[in-house]
Amino acid sequence: MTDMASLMEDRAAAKVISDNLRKPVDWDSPKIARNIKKRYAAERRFKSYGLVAIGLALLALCTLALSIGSKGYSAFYQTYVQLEVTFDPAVIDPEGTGDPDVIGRANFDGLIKQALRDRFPDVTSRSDRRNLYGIVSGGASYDLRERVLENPNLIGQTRTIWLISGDDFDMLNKGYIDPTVDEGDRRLNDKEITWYNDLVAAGAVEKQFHTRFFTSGDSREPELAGIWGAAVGSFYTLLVTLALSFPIGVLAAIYLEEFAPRTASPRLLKSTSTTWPRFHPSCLVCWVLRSISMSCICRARPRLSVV
Amino acid sequence: MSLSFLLLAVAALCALSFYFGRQRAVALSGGRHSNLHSLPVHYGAYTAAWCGLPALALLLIWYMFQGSVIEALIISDLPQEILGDSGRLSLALNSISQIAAGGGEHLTVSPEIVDAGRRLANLQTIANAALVVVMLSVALAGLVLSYRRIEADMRARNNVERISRAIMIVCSAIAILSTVGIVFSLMFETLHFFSKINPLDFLFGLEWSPQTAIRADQVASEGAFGMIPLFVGTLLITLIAMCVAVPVGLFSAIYMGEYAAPKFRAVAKPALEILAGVPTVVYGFFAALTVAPFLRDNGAILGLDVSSESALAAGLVMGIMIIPFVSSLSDDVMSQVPKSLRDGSYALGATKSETIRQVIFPAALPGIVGAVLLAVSRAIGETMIVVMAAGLAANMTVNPLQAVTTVTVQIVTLLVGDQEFDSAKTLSAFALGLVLFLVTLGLNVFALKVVQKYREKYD
Repeated sequence: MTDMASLMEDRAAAKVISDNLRKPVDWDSPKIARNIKKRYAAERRFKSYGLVAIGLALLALCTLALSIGSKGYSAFYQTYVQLEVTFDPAVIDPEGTGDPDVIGRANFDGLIKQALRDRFPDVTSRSDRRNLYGIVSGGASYDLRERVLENPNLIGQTRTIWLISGDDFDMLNKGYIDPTVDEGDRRLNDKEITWYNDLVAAGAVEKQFHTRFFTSGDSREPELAGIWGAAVGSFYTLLVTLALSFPIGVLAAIYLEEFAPRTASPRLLKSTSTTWPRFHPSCLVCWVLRSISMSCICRARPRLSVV
Repeated sequence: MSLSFLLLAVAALCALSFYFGRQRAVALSGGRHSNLHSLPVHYGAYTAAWCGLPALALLLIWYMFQGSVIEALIISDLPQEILGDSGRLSLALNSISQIAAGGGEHLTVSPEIVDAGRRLANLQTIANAALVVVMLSVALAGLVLSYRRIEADMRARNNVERISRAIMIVCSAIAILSTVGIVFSLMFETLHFFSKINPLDFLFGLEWSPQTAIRADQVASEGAFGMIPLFVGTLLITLIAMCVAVPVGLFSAIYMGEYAAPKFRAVAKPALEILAGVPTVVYGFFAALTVAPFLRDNGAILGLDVSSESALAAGLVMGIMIIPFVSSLSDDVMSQVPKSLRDGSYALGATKSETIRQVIFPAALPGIVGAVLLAVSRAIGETMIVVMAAGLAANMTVNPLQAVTTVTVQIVTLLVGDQEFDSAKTLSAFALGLVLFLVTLGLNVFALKVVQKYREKYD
């Protein structure tokens, strides 16, 4: 009996459904209107997810660029200190030979130290003086030598010259050393900061574009270090990589795609599009070649190339 | 004569022989190309190939054997007491090559060694000169012989085709063999490692602290080589990366492909792809210097104890890196869903989002799964970000706020600096590398298979 009853029920339900289907839909009914409204809301929601996703990705990109940029830009500028340097003939060229060899071996570092002592005559103790010499970079003497070799007339004169400053003072000038913290917690002591402020007040501190950053190689002194050595190394690596992977890769691809017998190598992928490689031995090959070539192609050109 | 000059000379000879071959063919044709079997260019290429290729092959073989032959000659003349001791022998060979290179004035060595050094320099000069002579004469011989073989009915084109095909086979072989070589070198070092450490301890061990004793009585001399913590760390970071990359990448792809106006697309798509072009080192210090401190400070405000080398920071940044990977792959896949499916859905009155969710997405699902798997294999193999931003301590944890380490980080730390290649510590890097290789290769193959299934359905 129960079977019969359930059968009857099923039939009744089926009739209701078929009646409903036969009945013309009333598109203006509030139920349909509600439904459509709901569907459009879902549509808008879905679309906004997409926008949010793109927004997030672009936000990440901007944060990345900003954080790298804001942290990195100050490396393009370098602090220079203005000093009055006396090109003492007794130090540079005592015998007045004018020989570049003699001038090249002169103690230009001593000249700079003398200039610093002259600028701050109150500094007398040994350790203070050592700190004082830190205002100017150890590499400044080479600049000075170049200058004199280029223009020997300088010998005997006193000139006001911009000299590259030491890294700690550079950091102070760029605001990375906070003078307000406890003396023991920073790399410069109070006296050094007083000297620095004195120089600033005299207008003798300046940030200049740091061309050395592009032209010099590694150095233990941060203010003298540059990227040229690394850039040349990268270039040669790229050159070798390209010279190896380009001909071998292209020729191997042509052979495997156009000449190699298909029967021996099962194709895992029926590929008609450009994005996917065929999978036979060449898949492994692609795998290696990709890692070789992606590294140069992707770096050189911000486009994604897959496999 | 330097190598580049030699190569230039051979190249010039090739150009010359191309010209001669072509000229001879033209002369033989008597002004009518139809008298020839192939185009004049083919005759030129034929002579050029016979001039250049044997010479280049000779150069390669020569360089392969020059060093060892000369060394054997030098060794054969060394006194017996040096030959007996392998350590002294390699020391002597070092001094000899230093003297031959023009240095070594500061060395205090016996007169035999100095003599040997002079002899080595002498032999090298002779070998270089001989190479030049032999190579140029081989090139010339090739030129003359192939030139004389040119006749009007010679099948130059077939010959050239065969030669170019041989070159391509050699290139494919190099590519395949280098892959095989990499795998084999990994495998041998791994076997070496397994002879010191039980493979089961490696595969299922729960503790990782790679160190080997220098002295027998050393404290903590027993290292532990269980790779599970490393893989847990790797998977944790990969999972976090995927939680970022998959939704963002997928929804960006959908919006770009289906909704965006062409103008917006023209700007936003390249902007997204810049993310793929950023070097991973840059992502690395972005994670280590910006994201990690940010998370730590904000975690402290919320009362959470976030490690300054948290898995979260590395994972988030890795996710950002992979976004364009996921989005451009799934964009491709979804744009390849046949238009008929789309039109059918619209004809039934579906809205755009309904079409995407219920028609396009299911149809493209295998392709999207493939894309995600490829992204996963990339995340697992990613090195630079985790080296800079993830920790070194092998914590067995799934807490994203703590420091974890990954397989790639450990490989880097194991192989950086001076290493002895007979300790389990160094060799474990190769075992890790092999497992990593197998995992990512498996994922890649699986992904490609999934995608292939999808292709068969709709193409």
